[in-house]
Amino acid sequence: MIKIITPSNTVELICLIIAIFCLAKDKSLFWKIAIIYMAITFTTETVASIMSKIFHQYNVWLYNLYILVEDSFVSYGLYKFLKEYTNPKPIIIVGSGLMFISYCFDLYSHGIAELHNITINVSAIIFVVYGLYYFLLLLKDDNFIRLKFHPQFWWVVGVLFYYFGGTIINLFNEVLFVKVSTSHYLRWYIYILLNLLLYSFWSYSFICRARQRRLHL
Amino acid sequence: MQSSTTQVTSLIVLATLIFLLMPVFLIIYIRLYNQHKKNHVIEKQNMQQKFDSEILKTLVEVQDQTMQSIATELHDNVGQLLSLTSLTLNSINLTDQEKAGKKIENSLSLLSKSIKELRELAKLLHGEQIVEHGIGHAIDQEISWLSKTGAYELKVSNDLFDVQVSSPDKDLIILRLLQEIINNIIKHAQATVIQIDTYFSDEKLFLKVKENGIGFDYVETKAKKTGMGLNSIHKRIDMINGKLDLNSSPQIGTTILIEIPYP
Repeated sequence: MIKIITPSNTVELICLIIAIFCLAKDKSLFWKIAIIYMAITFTTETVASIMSKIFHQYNVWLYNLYILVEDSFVSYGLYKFLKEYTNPKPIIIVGSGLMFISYCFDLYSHGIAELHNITINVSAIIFVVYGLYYFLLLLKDDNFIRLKFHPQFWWVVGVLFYYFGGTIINLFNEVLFVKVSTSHYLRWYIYILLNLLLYSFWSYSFICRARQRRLHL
Repeated sequence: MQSSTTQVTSLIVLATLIFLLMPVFLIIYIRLYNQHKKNHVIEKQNMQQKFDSEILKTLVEVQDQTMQSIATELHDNVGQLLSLTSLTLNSINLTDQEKAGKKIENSLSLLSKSIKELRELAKLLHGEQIVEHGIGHAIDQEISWLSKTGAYELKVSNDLFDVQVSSPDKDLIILRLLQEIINNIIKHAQATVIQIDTYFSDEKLFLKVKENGIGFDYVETKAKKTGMGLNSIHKRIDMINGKLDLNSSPQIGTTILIEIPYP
């Protein structure tokens, strides 16, 4: 049992619990979906861990399937938040198209069993661009917002940290397989740090959302 | 080999940390900019509040002025006419029918004059809402009240009746400015001729008042910040982004030109 508990699925579980507590009564579709997404994320991570550590099976195909869920959810979130300032349909459609093409290319070129690195890189670049665009619109907007308690802002901050912070590890994934301990590659440690940042910001964003709903802001 | 691995590890960790630091700086920048925006919005709200309170003050002053004018009219005009009517009626001797008839005729004439004056007063009472009919009418009403005093030779050119645009807040302030200028002339200028020109050109409204009074030292009065409501005039003109040009010479008189972006 201890074997399947990893730092990543622990932080995901905490985030899922916070999401259930804070967003269960939310009427917005996006925040409701956030609970489902966190449940899928935690399940995927745990099942992948079981496959790898207990049954010693290759689990990359599961992560490859998960990429579809992750890209859809993050795209939807950014679409929803960008929509508060502009019509994001064109850029979201273009971005989603690029991600889909990369996924098909990855699938065609090396099948489901090998990690879809091109899709991961393309998605990361697109999400960073979306995130920066969101901040640009936020700055350009005449109204000020209480950043400290603005759920949309902290959600996008989490996305930016995760995808921008993961740039190096994504770009040099093939060449930088450096083992820094007896059991794990450097990539694993960096992803734990990125996951910790992402789910911490998202957890805080869920708390802010609950506060926003309570105060009818 | 070991050293090379450590170097690569350090390089990746360092590069990742740098990439993580960039969003941190971005958040700090957004936070500072947002704070700046917040201050700007608060400042704008304060300015709007100040403007609103000044408009309210102006409205009260316009009402005060109207009431004063009504009081003066009632006392000096209608009151006198009715007193005279009362005296005339009291002095009627019914035995002398011819004289009594004349006196009743005189009393009726005085009464109809009083009714006419009261109608004029009613018009003045509507002066509070006068800006609703446009600044041209409001200024005309003010000038007609001044002309009734008969103390001044008035030369008026009011071209604001056909202005298609309007700004009720500015109208109220412009009316109050004119009232204050006229009050100053009555109280201090000792003028005999007043010339009032108003016109609208290039989205600007011009109000020019010229009189032939004793004049005053504008620079000194402005520096002292005392009397004559000059500060109040300046403050109100600044509030609506207007300009004031004042020329005054002893024994020649004073000319005031006010230019206001309109609407």
